[in-house]
Amino acid sequence: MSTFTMLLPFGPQHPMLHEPAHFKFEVDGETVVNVTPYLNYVHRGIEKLLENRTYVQGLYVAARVCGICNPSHTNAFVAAIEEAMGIEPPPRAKYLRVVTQEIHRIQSHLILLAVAAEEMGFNSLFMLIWRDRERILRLIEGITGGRVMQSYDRIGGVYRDINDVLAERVIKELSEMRERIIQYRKVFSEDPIVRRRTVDIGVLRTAEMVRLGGVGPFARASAVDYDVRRDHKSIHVAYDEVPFNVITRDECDVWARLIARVDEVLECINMIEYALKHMPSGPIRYRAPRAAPKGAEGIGRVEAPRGELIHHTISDGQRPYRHRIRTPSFANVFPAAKAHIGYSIADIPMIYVSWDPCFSCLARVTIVDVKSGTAKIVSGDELRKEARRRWEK
Amino acid sequence: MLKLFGEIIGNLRRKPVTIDVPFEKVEVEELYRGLEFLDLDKCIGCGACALDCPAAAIEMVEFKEVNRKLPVFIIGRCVFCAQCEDTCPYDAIKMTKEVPRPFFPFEEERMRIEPKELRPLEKRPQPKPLPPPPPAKR
Amino acid sequence: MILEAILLILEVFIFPGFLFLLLMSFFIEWYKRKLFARMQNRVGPKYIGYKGLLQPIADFFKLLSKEVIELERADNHIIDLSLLVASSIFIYVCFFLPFAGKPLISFEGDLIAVLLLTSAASFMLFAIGWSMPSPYGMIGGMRLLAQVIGFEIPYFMLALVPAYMTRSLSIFEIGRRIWPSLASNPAYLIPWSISVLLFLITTQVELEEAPFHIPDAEQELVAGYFTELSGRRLALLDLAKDTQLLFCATFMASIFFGAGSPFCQSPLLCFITTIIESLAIVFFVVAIKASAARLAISNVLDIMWKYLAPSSALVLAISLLLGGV
Repeated sequence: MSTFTMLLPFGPQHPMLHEPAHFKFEVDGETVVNVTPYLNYVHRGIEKLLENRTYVQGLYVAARVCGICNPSHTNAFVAAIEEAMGIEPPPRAKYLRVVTQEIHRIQSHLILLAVAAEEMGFNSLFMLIWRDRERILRLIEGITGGRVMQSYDRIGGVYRDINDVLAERVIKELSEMRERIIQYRKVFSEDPIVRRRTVDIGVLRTAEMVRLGGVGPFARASAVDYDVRRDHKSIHVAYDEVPFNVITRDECDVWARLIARVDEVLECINMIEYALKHMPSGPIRYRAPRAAPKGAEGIGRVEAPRGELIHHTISDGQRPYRHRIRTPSFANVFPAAKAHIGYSIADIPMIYVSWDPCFSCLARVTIVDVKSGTAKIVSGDELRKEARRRWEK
Repeated sequence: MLKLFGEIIGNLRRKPVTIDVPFEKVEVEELYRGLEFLDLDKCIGCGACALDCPAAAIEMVEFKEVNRKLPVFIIGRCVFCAQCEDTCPYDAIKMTKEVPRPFFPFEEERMRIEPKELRPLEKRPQPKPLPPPPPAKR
Repeated sequence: MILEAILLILEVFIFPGFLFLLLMSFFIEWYKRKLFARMQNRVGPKYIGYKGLLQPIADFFKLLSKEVIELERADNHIIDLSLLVASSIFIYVCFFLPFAGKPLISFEGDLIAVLLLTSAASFMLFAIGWSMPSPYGMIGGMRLLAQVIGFEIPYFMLALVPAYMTRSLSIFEIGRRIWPSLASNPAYLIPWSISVLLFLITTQVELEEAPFHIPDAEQELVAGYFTELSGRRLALLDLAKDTQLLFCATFMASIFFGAGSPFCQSPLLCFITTIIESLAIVFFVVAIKASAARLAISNVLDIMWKYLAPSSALVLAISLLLGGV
C-alpha cells in the first residue's frame, strides 16, 4: 500500500540553510517520513591543496577549512605535525593554546544560539546575541590579531604572547559576558514559546546516537559521555591541567542540545580564567624543524565546537604525502537525518540547527547513501596499521 | 511570557551599536594584523618570505638603482597571516594596524605595497633571536 | 454644487483619500522598521531621506521597476487579480475611518461592512498562495487560511463590545460616543479594558506579526504565500500589508479610544490625536513582535480556538449583562 508523500526540497539556496546543502524531505501531510541529504556543494579540494604545500604554508590552508572553527583545524593540524616530528611545545604555549581554543568555542556556540533563536523566529534574540559576540571577537582580535581567522598556533608553539594588561582585560570582559550568558540561559530555558518549539523535538535516544556515531555537544545532549578534551591525553594542549566539567544532558531533545551549548560557554569562561591566572612563564615557542622526516605519521584529535575533529598526516620529507581530515559535522549527518523522522515540517529548522551543521567542514567526501552508515568499529591502532600498510605499498 | 520585553524597551534608550563604516572609522586592536611594513634597513633580500607565503603574495623584485632585491607585497592575494613576519630572519617585516581598503576582484593584482624611499643597504643587520630549541627528552 | 463636487474630489484623492493614505502607509512602514531596529540596538533605515523617511517609498518604486518572474504553471490571473483586490480593499476600508473628524463614508452598519471587507482581503492573500505550484506557496497559503479563519470570530466579537456599549454600528458614531458611554457607566471599564488587550492580540494574529508570523515562516517555507512574487506584485503586496497595518491600528484607535473625538472642535487637533493613538498602538504591536519567538501552527490554533474565542465571547457576554439586555 503506497501512501502519497510529497517531496519538499530544501535546496542549496534556502533561508534556513547557512551554507549550501540539499535535503529532500519526504513528507506525509505534515510529518516527515524520510530524509535524503545531498552534500558536497562546497568542496574546495583542501586535502589536495595540502599535498602541494609545505607544512609552514599548509598551516593556513588547513585553517581555512572552516571560518567558524578555524582554530580547531589549526590546532589539529599542528598536533598532527608535532606528533609526526616528535616535538612538544613549551608549557606556556600549551596554556595559550587552551585560551584561544576556548575563546573561539564561546563565539562558535554563540553563533549557534543566535541562529537557533532566528530559526525560531526570535529575531531580537539573534541580534542581541550577535551584539555580545562582537565583544568576544574584539577580544580575539586583541589576543591573536585577527577576528575570524585566528592563525594563532604555529608549529612548535604559538604566535605571540599575552601580556598582563591584556589578560586583565580578557578576564574583566568575560565576567561581564558571564552575566549576559546567564541571562540568555534564562530566556532559553524558561521562555514558554521557546520551550514549545524545542522541548521533546528531534529526540534521539542514547543507544541510537551511539549506533549512528554522533559526536560533540549533539551527542552529549543525548547522555553520551565523551569529550576529546578529557578522554584523549594530548601533549600539545594543556587540558589535563585545567579543570573543567563535561556537560551532558539526559533529555535528548533540541532543548537539551541548546542548553548544553550554553552551559559549555559558561565552562569555557571558567577555563579561560583559570588558564590565564595559572599560566606558567617561559618561552612561547620551540624551534621546530621545517618538515617531518619521510614516512612520519601523526594524528591530531581535537574537540572542535561541533565535536571531534581528526587530522591525520603522513609526510614524504617536505610536504604531506596525504592529509586526511575527518570533521565532526560529517559524523553528525547520519544521526541528524534520523532525528527529523517522525516530526512535523514546522520542526525541521529547529532540528536542523540543533546539530550545528558546518558544511564547509563537511564537503570532503562524496556521500552515496545515507542509510547504510558504516557499522564496522575499527580501533585507532588498526586504522594506523592500515594506513601504514598502504603507504608502504 | 515575553522574557525579553524589559530589555527590548530598554534598548530604545541606548545608542545603536552599529558602526557606520564608510563614514565612521573602525577601531582596531593593538596587535591587529593589517598591511605589511618593510624596514629597509633590515632586509637583505634573501627571499625567505616569498618562499613561505601560503598565498604566493610576495614577489622578490630587483631594484637595480640600489642594487637590492626587495619583496613586493601583492595585497590582493595576501591573507594577512603574518607568516612572513615569522619567517624573516632579520625582523624586517612587521604587520601594522592599517586596515586594507576594500577592492574589486579586477584590482587584485594591482593592489601592491612597493618599497618606497629606496636606499642601499648600509650594514648587515642583526638576525633576530631564534626560539629556543626543545629540551632533550629521555 | 460645483464647489462641493470639487471639494469631494479633493477629499477622495488627496486628504483623507488616496494620496494621504499612501503616504501614511509608507510612514507607518518607516515607523515600524525604525522602531523594530531601535529595539534591537540597530539603526534601521537611515540614508534615504531625513533619517530614512523616504526608504519605503524608494523600496516601492524600486520593486515596481523590477522584472516580474511569472511561473508557467501558476494561475497568474488569480495572482494579479487577488493582489489588486486586496490592496484596493485595504485602501478602501480606510475611507471609513475618522482621520480628521468625519470620515469620507459613514453609515449605520459600516462596522459590519468593514469587517467583512477585511475578511475578503485576507482571503485574497490566501488565494495568492493557493495559485502557486510550489509547495512553499501552497503550504503557506493553507496556514494563512487556518489563521484567518481562527481570528475572524474573536475579531468580530471583540469589535461588537464597544459597538454594544455605544449602541451603534457605525465606526464614526462608536468613536464619538465611546468616552461618554464609559464615563456614564463606569462598570463598562472592565470589559473594555479586557477587550482592548484581547483585541491587540487578535490584531497581532491578523497582521501575521510575531509570535504569529507563520505564513511568513522564513526559515521553513522561504516566504510562504508570497515566495514567488517579484517586481510590481511584491510592491503591491507590501503596500497592502502596510495599509493593513494602518487600517488595523486606526480602527482599533477609533473604536476603542475614540480617535480624537474629545477634541474634535478643531480638525487639526483631532487629526493629530488620531495619528498619535494609531502610532501608540503600532508601538505595542512592534514591541510584541520584537520580543517573541514564533509559535508553531498547532500552538496558534490552540491559542485562537481555546483561549481567544471563548474569552472574547465571555467579554461580550459580560458587557451585555452590564448594559442590561
